[in-house]
Amino acid sequence: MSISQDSRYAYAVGRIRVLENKLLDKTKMQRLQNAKSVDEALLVLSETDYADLVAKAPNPYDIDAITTEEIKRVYLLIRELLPKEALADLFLIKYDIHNLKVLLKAHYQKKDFDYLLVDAGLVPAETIKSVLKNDQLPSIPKEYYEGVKAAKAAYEERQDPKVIDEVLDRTQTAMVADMASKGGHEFYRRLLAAQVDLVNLKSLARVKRLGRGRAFLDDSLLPGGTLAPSFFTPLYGSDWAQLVQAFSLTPYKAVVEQGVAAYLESGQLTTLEKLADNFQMTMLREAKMFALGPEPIIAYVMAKENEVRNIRIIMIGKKNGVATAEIAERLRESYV
Amino acid sequence: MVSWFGIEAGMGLAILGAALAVFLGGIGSSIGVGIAGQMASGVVTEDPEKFGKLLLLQALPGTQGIYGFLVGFWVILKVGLLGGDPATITIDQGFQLFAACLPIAFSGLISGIWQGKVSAAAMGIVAKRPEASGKALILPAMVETYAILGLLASILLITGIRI
Repeated sequence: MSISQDSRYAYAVGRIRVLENKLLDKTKMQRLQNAKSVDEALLVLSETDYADLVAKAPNPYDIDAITTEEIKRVYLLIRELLPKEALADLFLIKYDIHNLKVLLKAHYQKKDFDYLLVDAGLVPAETIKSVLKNDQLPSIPKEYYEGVKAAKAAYEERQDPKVIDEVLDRTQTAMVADMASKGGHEFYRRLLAAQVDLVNLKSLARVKRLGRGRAFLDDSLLPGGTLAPSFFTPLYGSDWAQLVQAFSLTPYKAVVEQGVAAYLESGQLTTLEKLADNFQMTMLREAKMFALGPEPIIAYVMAKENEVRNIRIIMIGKKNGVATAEIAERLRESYV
Repeated sequence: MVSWFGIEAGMGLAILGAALAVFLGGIGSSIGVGIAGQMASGVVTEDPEKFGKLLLLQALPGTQGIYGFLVGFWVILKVGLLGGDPATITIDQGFQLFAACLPIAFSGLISGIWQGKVSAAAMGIVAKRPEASGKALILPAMVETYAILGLLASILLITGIRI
């Protein structure tokens, strides 16, 4: 009987269950959306869990700083809750990869992109910077080191900054999937596989829409999903109806059907992208059914990431005077 | 009286039964209370006001240990170990007492663990929907049924054994 496996997480789950209550629910999000100005929206935020951050922020209008701070707080909490687990690391890898991309591009374009660095990853941004500068690659995790080497080689061959993204995205997917399966986080692995599928679906739709060519699509497809890249490539040449048909036996049937219908009507892929994100959120909600175990913790972190993304969409929209209806169009479903 | 390796076998079996009832029930309860206690600590860390309701839920898986102890104690009384004047227990009676202890020993062990898990899950209800706390109490209490049935069977059996 596996008593220990799930009950290891009992304390963490207890805390998460209370913290979930503090996630912004539909009503609060609605109020935030309906705010007439940035100031009013900030006032709404001050009534939520973000109150402290808004009050303490040197510049409350800098929503990126506030939300980054919140995300960091969540990761620190997960570290504290599960000190012996690599679970928090799974979420941090993407920030390191982002920093690596930024720094490599800055290196090749001889520009300073330091303001784009995010200091939330496993390795401090400064360390990554000095490591890359002094070419001391072996002092960062092996996978990063190999990713950077591959990215450099690819760039020098093709002289296109996009290949840096492609190579490092692959590094990220492979690394996260590997860690998730090693840690026995089956739920997270399933979420990731679906995420890769949906990213590939979005790439396919985008490349088709822009008519960028099949080679371009081949480069952007990621491995590691439930659908192999070879499922997507032949669809480049087919028409949209055939694409819908091809997905009719996958779990993404509804996403593709509605997304493509909206595209054919409006010429925009925003609906498809939104439906893809909502699909993931629906999967994430399964975590509510797990009483004990790592699932609620994983779901909380992802719900927070989603919430922060929504807050950014709203606040940046408000700042730029985007109409409320248009903002609402872009928002993703929330976890609670 | 049968003696194995110089040990009085009947009395030995009776004591073994009593010991099993106490320690298996105790293991079930300690694991159950342990799981529920960890979850309760997590909830209280974030929301100390819920302590009262959680305490009740944490205590629920604790009963199996008490039932086990009760049965063990009953056997000790029955064989007269407590008064300093132990009865003579034949090997037949010893086996009977031993077997009579098994229902609570095993139902206590298993139901204690599972009740702990259900209690922890129910604490999630208290954390998220305090208004449904009453319902949260009923769910782990269902598991209690089977510990009680085990206790009942053990006590009926012990009472029925003639010494």
